[in-house]
Amino acid sequence: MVLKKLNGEQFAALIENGAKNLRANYQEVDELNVFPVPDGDTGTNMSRTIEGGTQAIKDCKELSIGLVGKELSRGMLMSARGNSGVILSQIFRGICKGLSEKESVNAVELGEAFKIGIKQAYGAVVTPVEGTILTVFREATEVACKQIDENSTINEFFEAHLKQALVTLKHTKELLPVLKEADVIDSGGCGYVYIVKGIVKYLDGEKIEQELSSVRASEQIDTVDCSAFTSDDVLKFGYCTEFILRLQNSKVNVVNFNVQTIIDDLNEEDIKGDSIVALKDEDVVKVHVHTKEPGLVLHKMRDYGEFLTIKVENMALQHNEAMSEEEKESELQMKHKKYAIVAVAQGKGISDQFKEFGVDYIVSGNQTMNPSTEDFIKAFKKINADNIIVFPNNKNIVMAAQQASKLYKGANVVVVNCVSIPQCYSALTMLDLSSDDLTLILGNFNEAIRHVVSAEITVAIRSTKAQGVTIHKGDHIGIVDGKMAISSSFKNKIVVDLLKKIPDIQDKEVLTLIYGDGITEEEKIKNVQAIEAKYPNLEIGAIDGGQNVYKYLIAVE
Amino acid sequence: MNKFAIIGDSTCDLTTEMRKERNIDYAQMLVSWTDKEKKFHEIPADLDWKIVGPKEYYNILRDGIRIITSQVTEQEFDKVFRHHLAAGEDILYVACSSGLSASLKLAQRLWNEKYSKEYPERKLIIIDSLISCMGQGSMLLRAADMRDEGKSMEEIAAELEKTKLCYNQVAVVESLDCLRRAGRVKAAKAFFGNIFGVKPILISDRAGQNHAIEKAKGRRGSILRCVEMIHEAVVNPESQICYVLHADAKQEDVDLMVSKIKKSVPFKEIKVMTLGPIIGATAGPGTLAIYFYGKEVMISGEQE
Repeated sequence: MVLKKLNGEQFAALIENGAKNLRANYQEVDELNVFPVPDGDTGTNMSRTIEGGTQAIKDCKELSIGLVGKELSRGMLMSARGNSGVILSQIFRGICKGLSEKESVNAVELGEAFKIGIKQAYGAVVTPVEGTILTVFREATEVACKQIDENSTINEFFEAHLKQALVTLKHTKELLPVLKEADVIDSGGCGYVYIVKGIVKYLDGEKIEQELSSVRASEQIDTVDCSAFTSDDVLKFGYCTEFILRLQNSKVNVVNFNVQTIIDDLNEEDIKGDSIVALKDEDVVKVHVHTKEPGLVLHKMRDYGEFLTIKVENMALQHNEAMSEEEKESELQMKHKKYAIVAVAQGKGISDQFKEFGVDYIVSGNQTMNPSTEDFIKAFKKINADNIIVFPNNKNIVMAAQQASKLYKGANVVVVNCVSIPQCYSALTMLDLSSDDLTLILGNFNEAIRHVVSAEITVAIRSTKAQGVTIHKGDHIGIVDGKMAISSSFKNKIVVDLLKKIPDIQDKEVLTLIYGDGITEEEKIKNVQAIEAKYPNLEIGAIDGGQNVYKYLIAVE
Repeated sequence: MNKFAIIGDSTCDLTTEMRKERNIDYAQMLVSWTDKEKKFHEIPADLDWKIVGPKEYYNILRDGIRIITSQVTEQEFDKVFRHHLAAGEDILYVACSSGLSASLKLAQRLWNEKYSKEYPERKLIIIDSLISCMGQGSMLLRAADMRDEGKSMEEIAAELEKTKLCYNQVAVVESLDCLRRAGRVKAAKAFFGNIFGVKPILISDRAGQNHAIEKAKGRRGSILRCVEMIHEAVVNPESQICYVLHADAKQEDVDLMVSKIKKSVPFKEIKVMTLGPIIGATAGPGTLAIYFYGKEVMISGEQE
């Protein structure tokens, strides 16, 4: 079929075929790992992300591409999981923004929408890395847009897009040294190419027979119900006020500026700020505060800098929109807390330990099973708290947690930059809410995380070379703070061998071993004995974590 | 001006020489325990360590045996107070914090019921030190200094009342076991739970109770944090002695604490002493407790 214009129904069919093609090939994408560990299952994550979108438009009777896009975008946003999944959802969010209000589009208009996808996706990543799905999508879009004009067909756009995507995908290996060393192409980019291939196949008349998973994302969460605050209501909760301020040299000494100055201002009698969070990152200060006087806050802050963004929302509405009646009911039954903690964990031992430390809700997940944006939102809804602190505990889960924190309006959600279970363990041991000062609480967490070295031991699933370490399939491999450190066949002293790779291990004092599922008593004893002999000054503690994948998770402080 | 005696009790931790040199007396509390052969022992909490030496004493605790402490008894007050009253001396009793011991309440009651009637011309002033160990000990030494300067008991009492919250304690325990067994530390259970490797830092709060104010990680980390806290709170270090008390702690830990304090705070002198039997029994072996004069303590821990 040759399409001059693309309407909603056709768009839905293209995306569905793309999703089916990815599902048919997701395992191949999963295997494109830099480290030979069963982590970061990109194919699975991307499949489930796009299927959240196709599920949302499955019964969509709309013919308008704008309306179909809106549903697709929402579905993907909620089901997004893993970093590639979140980026994919943001790509489609941008594309669908470009399609909004349109009945149908021609190739040029479609190209323009794709360009918005580039902007949206790059904007969603704090530090965009080239050589990833971002590069594949961007170059494929840029090249395709150059090759089409008003007379081009939709088919020509996608064919050009695919052609360049394949070229860029091959090139990713040259852009990222880690990919080159492991001799693999970028997995996210590869997943995206499978989607586009599926779209082109559909245009060529080939419908792919493939079952898709049918988990449906929950209903809309981001419409504001303004009925919660009528002309007769009295302002009770104040305004949730968030802004990002760029400190100005003309106003303050940017380098030495202490964020406490802002916190003190917000605590002043006239502003009476609550739930204050203020974090300084070089010349930028991010602030969150609840106040009845947002005007005073904004006025005052210009003494220090100028705003990059501002968001002010009536909290009476926030409270309402995030909950259905039924959820409100169940929320009433939960004890209200000022601070609650959500942590991602897998393994009964770890989960129990975290709860004992004061975690309110465990989101189940790990390397191979990344929770979605919606999984986080469900957790947030269950918790009745003013402030929710989230520990994602995995690099590949951070973005989904952040996406959820932005979508959820029922509480002030902060995602801690915590990318491993040992980091989370260490931060939680130092948990102290008694200051009732969120900035201080988060500061303590970050301090604890800064001082802990995370080490992980697992078994290699294939032979390869990673970061200078030659690995044989079946070896025990040790990773220190995300870097491949050793590969060894001696499992009884693997822990001590790995500890030797920690540069300042002699200065460390406390070591916590978290045993994975299936570690024998003999292995445990041998490893602890080896550590005690080599490092007599370390206090050693152990927990039966029960996690899979990682035989040992180790926190060294 | 009447002669007066300066008296402390078993938590003041002043050494034999210090008490002798400054003419300070003390009333003894008691400690008791049941050993592994089920034999019951009760001895006075003796600051001369004559009956059980410090090493031996802390080893009892290391064996997991709970040592129970009791306040000054009526007989002991009878003996110590009457001795001075009979000699025609008034009494300035700088007592262990009312947040930790009821000894001063008993002293006041006995005064009202007995001693004031027996010796109607004598006076007693009790100072609730709101601290213990060398915080209380430093107040006693200060009182002795002022007595040497010719100050009256009332003048000394007024000065101590005014400044008592400036005697600071920063302490770190090696393990939470003794604190937990004694049930003495005022801190929510959830704050510490059963966390391995975490050391609470204890201050003496405005109510004179040991309040776990912070957690630190590891022995070294907790020592470094103590030094930071001393640095933040100290006033005029050049003109005072800093007391480092330890409950039979490892020499390297004591040395680390002393060298880190020396490096960051210019005290006139740092004196290393043994942590006395009463507070030692609750804080446990390995405890390091630092006492110095500083800013007024503003923190009120949890109320009972």
